[in-house]
Amino acid sequence: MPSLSSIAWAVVIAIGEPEAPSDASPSVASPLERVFDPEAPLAGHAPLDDAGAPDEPATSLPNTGVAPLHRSDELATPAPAAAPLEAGAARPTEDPRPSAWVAAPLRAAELPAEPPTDLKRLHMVRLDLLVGPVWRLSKTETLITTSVEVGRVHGFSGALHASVIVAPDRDFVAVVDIPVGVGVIARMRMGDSGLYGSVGLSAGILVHRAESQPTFSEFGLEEGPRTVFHRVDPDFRIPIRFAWSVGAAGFSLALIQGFNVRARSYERRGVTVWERSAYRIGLVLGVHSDIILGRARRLRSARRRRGKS
Amino acid sequence: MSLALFGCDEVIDLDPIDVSIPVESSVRPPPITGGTLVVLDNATAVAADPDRDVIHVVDLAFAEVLHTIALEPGDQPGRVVVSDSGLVHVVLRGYGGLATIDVDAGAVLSRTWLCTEPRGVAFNPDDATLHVACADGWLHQLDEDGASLGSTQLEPDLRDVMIVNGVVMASLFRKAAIVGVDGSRIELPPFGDHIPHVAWRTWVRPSGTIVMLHQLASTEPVPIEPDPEDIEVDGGTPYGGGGDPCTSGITGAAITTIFDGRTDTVPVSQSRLTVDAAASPSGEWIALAVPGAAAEEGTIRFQSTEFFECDPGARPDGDDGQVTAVAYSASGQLVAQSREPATITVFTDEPWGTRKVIKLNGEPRFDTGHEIFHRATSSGLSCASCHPEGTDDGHVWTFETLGDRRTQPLDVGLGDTAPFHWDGDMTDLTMIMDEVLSHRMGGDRQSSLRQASFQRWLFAQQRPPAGGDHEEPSQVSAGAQLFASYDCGRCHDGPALGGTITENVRGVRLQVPTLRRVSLHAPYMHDGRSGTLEAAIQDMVESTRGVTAPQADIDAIAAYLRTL
Repeated sequence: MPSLSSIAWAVVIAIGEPEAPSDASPSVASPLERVFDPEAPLAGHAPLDDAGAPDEPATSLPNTGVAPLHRSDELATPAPAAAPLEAGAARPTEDPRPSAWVAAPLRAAELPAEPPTDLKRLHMVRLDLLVGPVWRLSKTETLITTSVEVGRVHGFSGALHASVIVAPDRDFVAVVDIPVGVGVIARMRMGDSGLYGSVGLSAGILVHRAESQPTFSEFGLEEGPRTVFHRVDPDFRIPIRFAWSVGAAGFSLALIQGFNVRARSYERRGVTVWERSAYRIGLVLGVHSDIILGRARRLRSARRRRGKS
Repeated sequence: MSLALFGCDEVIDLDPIDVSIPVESSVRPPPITGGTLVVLDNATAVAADPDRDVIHVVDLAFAEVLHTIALEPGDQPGRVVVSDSGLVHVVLRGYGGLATIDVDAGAVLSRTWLCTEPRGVAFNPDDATLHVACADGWLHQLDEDGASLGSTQLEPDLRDVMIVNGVVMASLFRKAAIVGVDGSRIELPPFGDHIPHVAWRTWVRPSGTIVMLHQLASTEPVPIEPDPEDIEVDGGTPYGGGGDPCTSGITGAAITTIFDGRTDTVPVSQSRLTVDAAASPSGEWIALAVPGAAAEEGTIRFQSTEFFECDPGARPDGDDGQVTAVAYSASGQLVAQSREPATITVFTDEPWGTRKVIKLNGEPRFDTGHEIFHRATSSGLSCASCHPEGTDDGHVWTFETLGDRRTQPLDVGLGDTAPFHWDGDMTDLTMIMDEVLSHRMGGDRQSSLRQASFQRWLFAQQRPPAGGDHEEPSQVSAGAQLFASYDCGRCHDGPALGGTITENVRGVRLQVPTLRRVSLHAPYMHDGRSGTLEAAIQDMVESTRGVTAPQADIDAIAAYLRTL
């Protein structure tokens, strides 16, 4: 049974920029696209009329693509039809396009919603720190883990992790395991909320450090000095993670399964006094912070892109 | 660091490992027998030195060595006694006899061969005779010139000789009993769940009280491995006797006084291998020679004669070497003999006072194998605790999951008897050292170099055949033929007459023991169920051939085996 004493709680460190927007977060779009793609909702416009305005994005990701309300005026001047003005030339008095093509200025209530951000193309860096118990079959230890993930908000990311596993039973030998590894993370948004789920696979090494306690005779004489043992094992992890972001930071809950190939035990006078399985399952809770590195193009279907051409 | 490429388990042993460079003496010292010192009335100490085969004569008042009397190599001088004439008589264990020394002249006057393994000697002032006890059970009576005055057969395994109210008595080493030439016998009663055994030293006080320094052995089941609940960081567990000073381990030292038919046994708290004892003239103190203690712990210990069970005693500060013998002078000075370094230490007052150290002559005899064998582990046990004098304690231990197992002797040429232990489960000495010395007894693991050195020392401790000096040659010859005709040699084969194979006997697979010195190692069988050699022979004939052998055949085979 896991011991409650081995459960450590989160230390929150929030760094970096706000988290990347969700698919409801608009990116900057050209006015013409909005004009000739009437089915696409316009996101990011503040509703002039609450009843008729599209819903605000449910996500907490930053609305970097939100256009100001006066953009509707800009839409009245379609860019593709505009000829460059020569110096000194007089401004054309008539619109060369057919009148039907000329868009009348839209009222705010009539603006379509902003198209969703293509999360598969939105890059980010996520930093996290999580703490929790890790079960190594017969024993429960404390796991502190941190990682850096670089990649898509929705899609694959590369990940680098480093952890510390501290064994609570330190009477005979004080053990600290340090798994370090790299791997890939597949992340996807779960529903319309800001909850993301991810699963990963990483490989690396687990550095095992153990320091034996000195032994004494019954007269208090030190007979056996402290001895430090080091071992390095291959290590594999499969983290399953749920992350919920609020602004730039968020909370993460992860189930981290690990396998470091080699089970290990320590004996004193032929009796096993410390042992661990090669398998481990950790349940950690902590915080993360996301840094958005670039803006993704909005999500458009292939059919629509074909229609445009 | 090591990188594991494949799935595997790794077990790391936390027991400390001793990697110090082994030292082997030019002449490897024999196991400690203890009690090799006597102090004459003129403040002269005579110390037998079995490690160097010399006799040291030391003037205690002037702290100088008067004589260093060389003996023959391998003589192994032991017990010393002084006669009324002032001559000193020394038992020569290796030679098998008695040497008479003129301490004033520093010369050996005579050497008398007596038996294969003489042990104790006493001088009877009533008739000016010497009595020498031999391991084969014969008690020899001599005059001071070495002339034989007769022999008496008592029991095998005689040790010290005492003159108690005019009666010659001798202690039995393994049984810790006392037998007299008049047929008397004194058995020490059990002490709780321990029984007395291994009588290291027995002497008689002027009051007629017999004092015996012996060991107590547990009759309770002994765990093969320490209970995990008992494992402590410092390694001490009840298995070895460490920890609680009021809790006896499986074996430890004790002192029993016997007077007027009454016995009083008091165990020595937190004892180590203790091989000699002496009572102060005032009767208030008993000094103990504890060569099994670590040098830092001190190998001299003083117990008040009023001591109680949990009394840890007193230890003088300072390093007195590895003390193997103690004796009091008439004035109450304690004299202690250290085997390595070879010194005589005089404590000026009772119980100890100031210390005066006298260096003795001779080469160093520090030896790693000897050290490993005798020094106590963290649990208080040493190899010599159960293998005193490098042989066995004769005790039948009850091991959990294994059952009864008699301690096996080590002085039989152990190198010819692998695999080891009654089950034959210990393929070599390395395995025994890891399993028994380290795991069970709580000792340090030894580096491969030290293990090899220990093995060389131990395998060299083979003692000569028991001899059977008193057996009829024709009986011995007949016994040898019967031994062959009963096909005993089918299992008791090879240079050690056994010891190398495991056979199924009565449905139990057990190692066939060697027959070397078998007559000196009662009781017999793995569980000690045969108390005499004749009973053991009959048991084996019935077990292996399914018949009962005639008593004449048994006697003849026993006569033959006593020569081995």
